[in-house]
Amino acid sequence: MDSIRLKIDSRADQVALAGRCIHALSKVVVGERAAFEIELAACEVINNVIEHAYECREGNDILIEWIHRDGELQIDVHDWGRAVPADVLFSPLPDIDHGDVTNLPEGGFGIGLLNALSDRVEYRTDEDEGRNTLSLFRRFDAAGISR
Amino acid sequence: MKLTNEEKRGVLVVRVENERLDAHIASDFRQAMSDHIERGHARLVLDLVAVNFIDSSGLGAIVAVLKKLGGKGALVISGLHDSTLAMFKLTRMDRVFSLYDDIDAAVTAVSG
Repeated sequence: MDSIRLKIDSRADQVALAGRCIHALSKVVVGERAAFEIELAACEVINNVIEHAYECREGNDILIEWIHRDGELQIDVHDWGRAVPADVLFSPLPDIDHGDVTNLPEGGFGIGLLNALSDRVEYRTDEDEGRNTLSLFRRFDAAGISR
Repeated sequence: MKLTNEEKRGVLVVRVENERLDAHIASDFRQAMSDHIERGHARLVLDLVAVNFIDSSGLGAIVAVLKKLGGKGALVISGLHDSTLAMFKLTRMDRVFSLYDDIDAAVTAVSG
């Protein structure tokens, strides 16, 4: 198993740093397209942490673990903020009625993208440490082809 | 955030010069585009050729700009790459926005 840890501050301008690292690491394993999808899913998680767990307050830690094991990539995102209700984390992408511009959704895509781009998502809270962890998993075959 | 603006045949072409249209700049982007609309620009091309990453906040901001037009005018997109096009397809926004390979094709479509 290979793994690496990244720590960023809870600021929107820091998300790109983590995203670029995740992309570069993942690209070696699963290629460009899946690496982009994993980066996008991870960035949505990190944005969600900043907005909801830390309520846009800077100065809080976000710890990201990139883990590669046989046939699977796992990204863990840890925070020490407010836990997110589990039902929110498993929402699908919103329905789009492309003929009804007035009522197009402007939000609600982030969690839907996370679920669409991951093979599995898990969320847990360690009450003793006050730590929330979201794990996203992406499987790939022996040739590095993801889904 | 950096946007460059150019008027072509009555169409305002706005190019996003950042590599990422994401939560970090989405609010500023939305405001800048809203300002253009409030100044009377109703036919717009959003050129994303310099952008290689769009997250849900960036996409939401683009949708907000379209809604700001209120059905009076047009907002089309040019210059998507594979990664940014994938974002539009994943969210089915490729059915909402007209997408063009380059600025000239987009301006021709909108200039009417």
